[in-house]
Amino acid sequence: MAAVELAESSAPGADLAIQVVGVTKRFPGVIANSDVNISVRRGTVHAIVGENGAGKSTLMKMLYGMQRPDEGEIRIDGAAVAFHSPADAIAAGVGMVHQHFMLADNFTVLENIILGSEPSSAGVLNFAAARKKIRDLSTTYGLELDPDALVENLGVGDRQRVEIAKVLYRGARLLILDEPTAVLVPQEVDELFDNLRELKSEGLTIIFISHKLDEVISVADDITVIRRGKTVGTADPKTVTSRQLAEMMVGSELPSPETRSDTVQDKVVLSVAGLTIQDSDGRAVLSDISFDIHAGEVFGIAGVEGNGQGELVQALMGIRSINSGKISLNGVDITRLSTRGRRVAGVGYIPEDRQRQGLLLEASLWENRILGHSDSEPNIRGPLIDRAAARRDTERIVREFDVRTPGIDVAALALSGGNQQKLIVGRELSGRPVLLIAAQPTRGVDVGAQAAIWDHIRQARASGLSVLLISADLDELIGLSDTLQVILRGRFVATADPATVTAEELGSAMTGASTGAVA
Amino acid sequence: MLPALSDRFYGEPQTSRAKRRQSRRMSPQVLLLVALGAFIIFSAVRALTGANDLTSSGSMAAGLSAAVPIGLAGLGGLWSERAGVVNIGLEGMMVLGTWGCGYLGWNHGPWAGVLFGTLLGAAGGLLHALATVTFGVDHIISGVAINIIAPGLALYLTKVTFAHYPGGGQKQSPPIADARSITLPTSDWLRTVENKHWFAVSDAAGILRGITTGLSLVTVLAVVVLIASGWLLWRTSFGLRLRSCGEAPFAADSLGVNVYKYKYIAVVVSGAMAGFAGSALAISAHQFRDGQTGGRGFIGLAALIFGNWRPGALGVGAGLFGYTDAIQLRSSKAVHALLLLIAVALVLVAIWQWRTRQRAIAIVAVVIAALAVWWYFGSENVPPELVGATPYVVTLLVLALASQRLRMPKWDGRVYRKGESH
Amino acid sequence: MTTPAPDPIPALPSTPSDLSLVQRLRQRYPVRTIVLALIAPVGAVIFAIAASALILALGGHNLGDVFTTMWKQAGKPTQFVNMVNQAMIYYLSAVAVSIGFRMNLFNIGVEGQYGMAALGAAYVGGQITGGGPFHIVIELIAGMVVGAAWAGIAGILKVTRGVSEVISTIMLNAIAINLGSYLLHRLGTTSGNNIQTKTISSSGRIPGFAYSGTQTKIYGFLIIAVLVGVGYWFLITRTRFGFRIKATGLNEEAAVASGVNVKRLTLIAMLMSGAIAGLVGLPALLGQSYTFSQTAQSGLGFAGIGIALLGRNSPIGMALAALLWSFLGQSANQLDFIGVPREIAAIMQGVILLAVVIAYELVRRYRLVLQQKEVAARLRTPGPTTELAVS
Repeated sequence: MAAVELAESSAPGADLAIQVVGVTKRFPGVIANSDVNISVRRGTVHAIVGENGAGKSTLMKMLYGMQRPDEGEIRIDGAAVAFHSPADAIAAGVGMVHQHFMLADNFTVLENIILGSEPSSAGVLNFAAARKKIRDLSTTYGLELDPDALVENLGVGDRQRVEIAKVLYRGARLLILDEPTAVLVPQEVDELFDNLRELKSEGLTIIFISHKLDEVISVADDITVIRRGKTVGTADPKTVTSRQLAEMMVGSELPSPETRSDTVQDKVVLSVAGLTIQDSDGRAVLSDISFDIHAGEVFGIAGVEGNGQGELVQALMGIRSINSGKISLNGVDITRLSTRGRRVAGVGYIPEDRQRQGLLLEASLWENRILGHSDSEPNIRGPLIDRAAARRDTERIVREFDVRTPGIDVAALALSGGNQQKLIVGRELSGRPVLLIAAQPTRGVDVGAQAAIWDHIRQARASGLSVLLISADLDELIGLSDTLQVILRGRFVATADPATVTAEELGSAMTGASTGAVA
Repeated sequence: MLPALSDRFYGEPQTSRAKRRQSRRMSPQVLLLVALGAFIIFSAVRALTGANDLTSSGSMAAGLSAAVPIGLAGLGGLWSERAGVVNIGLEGMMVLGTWGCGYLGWNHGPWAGVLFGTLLGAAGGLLHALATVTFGVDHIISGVAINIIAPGLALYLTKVTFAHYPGGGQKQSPPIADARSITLPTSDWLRTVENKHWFAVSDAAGILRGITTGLSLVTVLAVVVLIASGWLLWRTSFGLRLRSCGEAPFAADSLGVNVYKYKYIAVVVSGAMAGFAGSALAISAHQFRDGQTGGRGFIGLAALIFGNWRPGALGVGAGLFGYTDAIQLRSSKAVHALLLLIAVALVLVAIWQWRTRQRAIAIVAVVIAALAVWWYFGSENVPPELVGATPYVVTLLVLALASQRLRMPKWDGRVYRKGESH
Repeated sequence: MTTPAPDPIPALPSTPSDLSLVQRLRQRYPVRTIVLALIAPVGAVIFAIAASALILALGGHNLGDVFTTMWKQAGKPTQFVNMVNQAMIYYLSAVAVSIGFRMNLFNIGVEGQYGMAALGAAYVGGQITGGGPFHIVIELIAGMVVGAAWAGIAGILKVTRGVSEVISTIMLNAIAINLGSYLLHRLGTTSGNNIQTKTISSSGRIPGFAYSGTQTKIYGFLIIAVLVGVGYWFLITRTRFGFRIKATGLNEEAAVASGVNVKRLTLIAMLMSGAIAGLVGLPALLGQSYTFSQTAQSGLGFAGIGIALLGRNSPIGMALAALLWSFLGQSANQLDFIGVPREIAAIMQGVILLAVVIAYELVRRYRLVLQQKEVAARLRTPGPTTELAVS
């Protein structure tokens, strides 16, 4: 595969805007970056790709002065630099456009851009000078910004351009864009790429962090792949394919098809038809999603975070309102039913953020057992909480689900993440649900606990439980699902057969490189 | 365990972004039209009801004088909230201001009193800043604590000092001399015009005379401070950075703004304003008296909301509230006529809400307007006890009926800690 | 399936229900937690004493005299009775505020709610003649209904228009003063220089408890206050409704995911808070004055906030805090006799409030640091791979 190389790839004598040489960064208990080497040629768009958790953000923080490398060095224009704060980076001509915009909604574009570097005489703001400079920047780089527009009224694409203008205003020659297309619709992505080409033609260098492989290939001049904190290699976008990139990102892992019994029954438990959700800007977050889940079936949805899975889960739980569509549980229309009603009807929920959505951290374990189930046995007796019964049941859950804890009276925050998750899984399965919505059920959980949770889900499935599984862990998806769909930008774009699909096939479908039936 | 309560000091307006796409500021021409319209309505109501005190120079002067403490307190609230710190301790800081003014003012002249009152108010602000910015205490609780401490401290100090001074007592200071006042030479001529009671012309004369006769220099200073605050906060680098702390402190921090520093400055200035407000109150009452603030700190907060956190509109709000406070003492007929004015205002609000698709609110506004009219015709006068509630009722109405237009600083009331995820 | 890797935290003993109450309490509330929990209120009181000492010294007063005078008051029967009476009033206010606090609601409006309620109860009580115990019951109901309604205005504004309960209750407090004054003029009768409501007849009065050594009686309302405290405890800890309130206050997002209807709960909580607030003015009304006038006590709402914070929203803690607050206020009344302004009590109360919330914050930060150290230590010990998602 000539398109893929390992180790440093800079052509000797090339004009390098920035060079990362042997950089390592450690945090307590984990190595975020290990001996990373990247060479970025001046005047190019250099993409850095990797999965969530691969170490991209830490690397970028070091380039921007928010962290310092433990080993190795960073060279800008050939000279080693040591940044102690973003101010140093800005002074060296490095500008960062964050994934989550840092803008003041109630300020104008102009005020947002000049904040902290205001043109002034004796403290008095020189609006005219600022306006002129912004207009010049806007024309030179094709940003089309109106300095007096209120940021609150701007769409996402425009806001991103304001962030870009912020760094250009401060004289950045090297731009770092962190997941810039994560929040853009395809048309806005095209506009962004046009802007990037403009910037390139003016001699600026751009580092572009992403895991959307199809986009990366279309706009980058060079690609560096990072996996688990190490540089895996570089690629030439002109010749590499999405699949090859996906394989580098994810690692080639052969599928381990499990000979599992077919537990899928005929009865349809969950039926979703035409589900559509729009956000406050009118953009489609979910478009016309329809699917059925049968009893005894695990329905897996694969997709990069932020493509509508979260909103789908919220809609199914009744936490978020929908624009159109119908949801039925065992034939009963629950579209208008409250969250509480849905839980009572038999929907269990393992939320993706256990600390924010699944637990009362300062409350004891047995109180957490009651959370979400304060309308059903064994926790209640009439209008009262049945403490003794709840405590007994909590002890049972602790035993059956192997929750490591000194007792059921400790506060939930004293437990490790894995044990917290086991408690939640135990709680939800104990409610005898007919449908279990499991979002990232083993995120942040150690290997042992993960296997245990999978076992419990499989057992429940064998007794007829339907499961909607949302996960970023491809192993988990492939290993647990009976049906597998890929979601991208709010639509189902591909189906996969869990028995035969490989992780990289799935990965490339998730990033839009392939659609339809995957393997 | 402690609830993060001030997170929601002003609540979330229940509208989507699409509905909030309003223009930021009314252009000067529109403002002029609105002012003119309001003036015409006032004159009309005055002519119809014969309540001459509605636009008399006496009412205007008294209203202006009453508006000063309210406006300054509201200005204190503005400084603080624009930097993201809610300050309901304004009342307590104002009390400190009244006492401080009495302490130096009785024998060193009113301006020494103003200075010391302002200083003591600033000290109160410093305490609030320490609690909220450095220690991350909930803004409301800190304000409540200051409101408990300050009056007690003031009365304690009074018993220890003023009680032993000539002319002072257990609950008051010796008399404070008046600050100098100005009267323009046009005053007499304007009075003749005013007394003719001609539609619009006499009203204009009355208003003009009211603000140019016996105008205390303290009032003049207050207006200057108001204008200066507006200029400082919107036209200087310092002001931009301060306001950014109240809108998006993490963005400001990422651009090198020292958020803690600006919050401190803002809250101390806020206290100083409240102290100045107290001093103005003490001077116009010619002494410090226990309990003389009478909730004006809260009326100032109401004026701040009414003014949508902008100094100009804040001034108008303070003027309005001061005005209602003043005419209550002068003429019950004028107070009665106010009902009609409120009804007119509500109808205008209803029309505006109807046009922006908020049908339910428009209907509510019309109903309240109808009630106001019915009250007017069904009674001889407004019970004096109820007039004092006007600023608060008006503010509640604004909050309930016009919340989508309100634009409080985005990070107002939320505890900010550098480096924490948000 | 692989065997689970060893975990630093020991597993559960085999028969957990054999743990005694003490052992269970030790688990839930390890010594360190208790110490940290108490350090704030105790530290705050000590700091307040120090600050007051400073202020007293500035005023040229003898500290020793002041504190001994105050301390001696607790022993005198009349003062003791007054203290208990005042404490129960404070306690009711604190419970009212606390219901809101549990849900992260800030009911500053207790101040206005109890005033309106006292007026309402006094008026209604004055109109009724005879009726035995029902007379009292109706007065209680009147107070609670008025208090709930006044709080309900803020509640409705919050759930329908998103207006924060803080600002609306501040406005409503002020309106209550005006409206109350107006209603008193309309509904009351003039007696000398004072306007007051019609005096409540004997069937509407709650007899007090005699206390040896003094003519002053302890308000009979004490029983109701205790019941309120018990009811509050029962509601929060034993009922499903109380569980939902606690959950919403601890983590609103999780509560929503668990099915709580936050808007409905908010409104109900405000109404309940207002109803309890409505009782605040009644001990004095039904046990001593039997009529409502402009001289009724004010400031009880803000005191309630301080006491709820000091007592950490717990029924017992708030009772102790109420006693402390009332002790300060009452005993300070005697300071006039030694020439010390009694306002030092108000200063102490305010300083305690401020100091205690600062102390809570410091303790919280300290706990966080401890926790992070623990997590780091746990991660360093050799065990299963603990790859955290650090990206």
